[in-house]
Amino acid sequence: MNASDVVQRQLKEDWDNREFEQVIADNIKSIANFLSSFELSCRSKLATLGDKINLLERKVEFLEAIAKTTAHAVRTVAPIKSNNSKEARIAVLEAYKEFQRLTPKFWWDFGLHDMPLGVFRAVIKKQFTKNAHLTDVRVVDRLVGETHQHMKSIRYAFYNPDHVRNYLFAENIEPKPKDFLSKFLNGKE
Amino acid sequence: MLRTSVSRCFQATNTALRSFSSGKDNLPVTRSHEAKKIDVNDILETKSPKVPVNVSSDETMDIGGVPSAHQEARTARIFRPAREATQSPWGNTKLWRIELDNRQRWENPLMGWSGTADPLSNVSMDLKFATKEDAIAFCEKNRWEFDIEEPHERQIKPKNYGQNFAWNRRTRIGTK
Amino acid sequence: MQRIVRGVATKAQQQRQLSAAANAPKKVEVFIDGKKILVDPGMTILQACALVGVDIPRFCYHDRLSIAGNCRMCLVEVEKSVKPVASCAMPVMNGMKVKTNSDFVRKAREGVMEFMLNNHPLDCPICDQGGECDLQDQAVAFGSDRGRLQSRLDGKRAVEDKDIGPLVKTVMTRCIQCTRCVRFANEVAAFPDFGTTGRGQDLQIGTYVEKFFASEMSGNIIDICPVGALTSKQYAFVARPWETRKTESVDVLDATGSNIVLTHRTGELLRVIPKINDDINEEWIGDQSRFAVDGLKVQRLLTPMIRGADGQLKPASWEEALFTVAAKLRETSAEQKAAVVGGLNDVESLVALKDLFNRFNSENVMTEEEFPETSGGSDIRANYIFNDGIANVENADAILLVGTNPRFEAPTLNARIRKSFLYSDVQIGVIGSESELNYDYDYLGASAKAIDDVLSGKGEFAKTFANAKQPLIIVGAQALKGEAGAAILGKLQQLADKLSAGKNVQVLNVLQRWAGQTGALDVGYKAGTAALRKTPVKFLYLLGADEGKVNKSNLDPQAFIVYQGHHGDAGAQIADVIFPGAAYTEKDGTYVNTEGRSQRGYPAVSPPGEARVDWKIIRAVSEVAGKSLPYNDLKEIRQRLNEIAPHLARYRDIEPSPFIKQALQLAQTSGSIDVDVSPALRELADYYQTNVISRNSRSMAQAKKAALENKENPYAEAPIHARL
Repeated sequence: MNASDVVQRQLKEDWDNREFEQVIADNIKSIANFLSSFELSCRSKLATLGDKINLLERKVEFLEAIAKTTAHAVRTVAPIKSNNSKEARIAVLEAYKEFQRLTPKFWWDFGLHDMPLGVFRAVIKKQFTKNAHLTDVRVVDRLVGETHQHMKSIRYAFYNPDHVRNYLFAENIEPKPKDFLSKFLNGKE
Repeated sequence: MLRTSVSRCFQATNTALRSFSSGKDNLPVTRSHEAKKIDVNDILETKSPKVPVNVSSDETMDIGGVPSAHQEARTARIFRPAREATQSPWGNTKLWRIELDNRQRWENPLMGWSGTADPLSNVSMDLKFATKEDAIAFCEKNRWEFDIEEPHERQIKPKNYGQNFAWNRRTRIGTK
Repeated sequence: MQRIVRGVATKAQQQRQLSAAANAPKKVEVFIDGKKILVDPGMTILQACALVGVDIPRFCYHDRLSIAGNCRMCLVEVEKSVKPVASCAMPVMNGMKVKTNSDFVRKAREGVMEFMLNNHPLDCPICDQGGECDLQDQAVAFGSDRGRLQSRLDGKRAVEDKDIGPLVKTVMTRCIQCTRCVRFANEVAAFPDFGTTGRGQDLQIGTYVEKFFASEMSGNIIDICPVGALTSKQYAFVARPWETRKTESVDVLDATGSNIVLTHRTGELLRVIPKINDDINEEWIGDQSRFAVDGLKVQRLLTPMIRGADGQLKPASWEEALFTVAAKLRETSAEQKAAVVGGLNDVESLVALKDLFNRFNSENVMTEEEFPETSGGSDIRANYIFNDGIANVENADAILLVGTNPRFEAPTLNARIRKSFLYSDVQIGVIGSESELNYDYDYLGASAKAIDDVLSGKGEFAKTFANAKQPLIIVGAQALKGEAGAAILGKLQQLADKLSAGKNVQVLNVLQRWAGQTGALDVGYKAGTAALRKTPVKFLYLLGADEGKVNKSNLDPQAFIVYQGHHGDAGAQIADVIFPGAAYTEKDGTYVNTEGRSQRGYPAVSPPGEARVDWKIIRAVSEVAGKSLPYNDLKEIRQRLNEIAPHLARYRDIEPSPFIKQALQLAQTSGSIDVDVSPALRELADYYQTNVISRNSRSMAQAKKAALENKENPYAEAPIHARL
């Protein structure tokens, strides 16, 4: 009995080992497959990246040429409302906070509550952050003024809910194709 | 579904007015014999110095509030229009014009009118410039690339009535 | 980015300036409205005023026609003269004082205008010329506000309409008898059957007996007529000029690259009228260029198509078509691929196709039209372009036409030859067919052997030619086919070399028949489809190749043929996949004319249906096939064009071609040239339908029919070419 138990145990261990080996071999094969396909895809991606780099290099040369030759008449003016970028920043933050205080009312009154309020707040925030790259104080002032006008219009209900939806989610309605082939298949321009 | 908030605003202003016209004075009172002369500069908040802003030639696109649909990078052609072949006067050929790349026009399914996705399709219609440089400045302001076509000047070759009757040349007119 | 497109003075202009400066006669001083100018003494007052910027109203005077002086609208006051003076005819004299806006002049103009309107019908609402009518504009500007005609009592005269063909509509009641059309027909179009009959109030303009206006320039009388008497039948009642938009572009239906203006409205092309370009087409265009645009609405390829297993072409989507073609492109090896291009393509699509094929290691790109490979073949540019420039034809002393009929191959060039014929003593010799050209010529024979005679100086014409100060040889591209073509080219280069010694003309000029040919040869295409027949081709890409030069029998039996073009013609019939492309009015393209002048054509309308711009289709094929071409928009592909050949980006300029001596060294001058070089287009009926667009055009079909019927007309006499 003992001997057969031992034999049984050994057989079981043997089978377990074999299974284990099998699993390892399978995994190794899959790793090998993955590596070879990865190599192929890498090669093709590198080729396309190489082409893209060529294109970009050409563009950069071109832009450098422009920057050197065209003389953008640089004159300096004194800004009107905010005197420096710090004041502009303060104005922007004030406008932002006021807008976010207005947001729950905006969200509810204009029938946008099919999305959670947090999402809507993020959408409003995006409208502010999409202009984060601006450095010209006068442009920032104009946009802040526009924001105040928007807030006034919202409070006085000048806007229609559908128009608000169109304006805020314009990019998502019909995302325009960016690369050549999609533009080609999509239409004539 | 839209609840107006106009009435609430009104209520807010009313309360402010009411407090102003109340008899209670929370305001400081100064009698004239106790008034002290204070320098203007002490009252005014210190102004931060204005930092001058560099203005580039295409600032209008950012400052002017041009809608984003109009801000696409287009290619313009600056030229002096050709004389209409069907008429003889040269009056319309003197001013410079800009023509943008022609975009697609299609038939609107509702009424059959001509629709286009191009907000700038009519820019070339009535926009005329006195000089080439003005047209170039306009294109730079709008961030359009441009090609300039040097105009073909009108060539006036001398002619005379006598060649209709020249006895030895082929320009002699035999008929009317 | 700005790119200045230069219209630098061509060689012809430079020559004229030099000659003008060399023998400039003493200038006379003239005072016009108090302004003093110095002019050459041969000028008329009207021209002198034009120099100052004063445009005197006129009806009968035209810059390119002889002076008639019969409308009397150009009357001005000259100081010492009692009567007003017709400024279009009176030459300037020293110290002349001219007043163009005094009361006297104004009264004269009002009187003339009143007379002209007295017999003019009240047709403005139904007249096609309304809005672009000289009579309307001048009546408003210079006429009086009221007329004295009692039309109920005196009535107006009326004239019957004349039938001069299916292209030009006549309403002769509106005619003001300015005789511009008569002078045009007599001088420029060489159709002397058009004239005036009767005198005074009964003067009628027409052909007297009903005849077809048998000229390839007949459409230009529509532009010339200041009123609505002669209008375009194709454009009758279509639109008013103020509601149309105008786009300047370039014509591709012949190789001269005439400048045209496309008139369009709401995305529909309405008509084509010429644009003035003194170097190429002056103010004229041929009838095909003008009227064949109605062929652009007919028989168009609107969707990609794939030939199914049952042999029928079925519409497919772009993705399917692109994938099918890309798969086949990758399967076939480089030697089994070939591309054949037709003659109406822009250089951008030619470059894209060649780049695509080069990426797949194939150089088998060729044009339908042949060109010899000797003398350096298409490597030396001077071999295949019109070296001297079309404008220089006016200065020629002697012209030799070999194997070409410029009247039907390039009507505007022929108009220039005729102009040179009228205004100078040029002698013209023709080797080819003895067809009616618009000028007198010496017929030297149908066989190219006659070139040997000219070389050796045998014959009257040969002597004139040898002694000419500015000789010109124009050889048609059709004559340079095959073995004999190579020998002909060699012999002509010898002749040209002998004659051009010491003169500043290249003498030898090749007149191409197709607008896309010069561009294709510039970019590196091989000429002629002979290479196709050497190795069996399994993948054939036809880019607008509709002349039937390639049959299925020339290819491997399992060949896969892709056709990209805008009309369904011979090429689309044999294709397995069809890509719908854009015609010349629908795409932004660069076209190189036969002089090597690169010009830019602009799109007026967008391609119909699912069609796309040609080079973009090829770029999409390349992307789907895995080897994307490195350009995504027009600017980038133009940069690529600039890389290949800088003249392609320098618009409206001619580059002088060097290496003529080297071409001569490589020339093959042996070999028999005893072949018939008669051109294919011999009579007017041949002219109207020569390319895929005009073959599909209704007006051109009607014109061809009228031309064929005109041959049986008993009143159509053989025209008189010269006037002396």
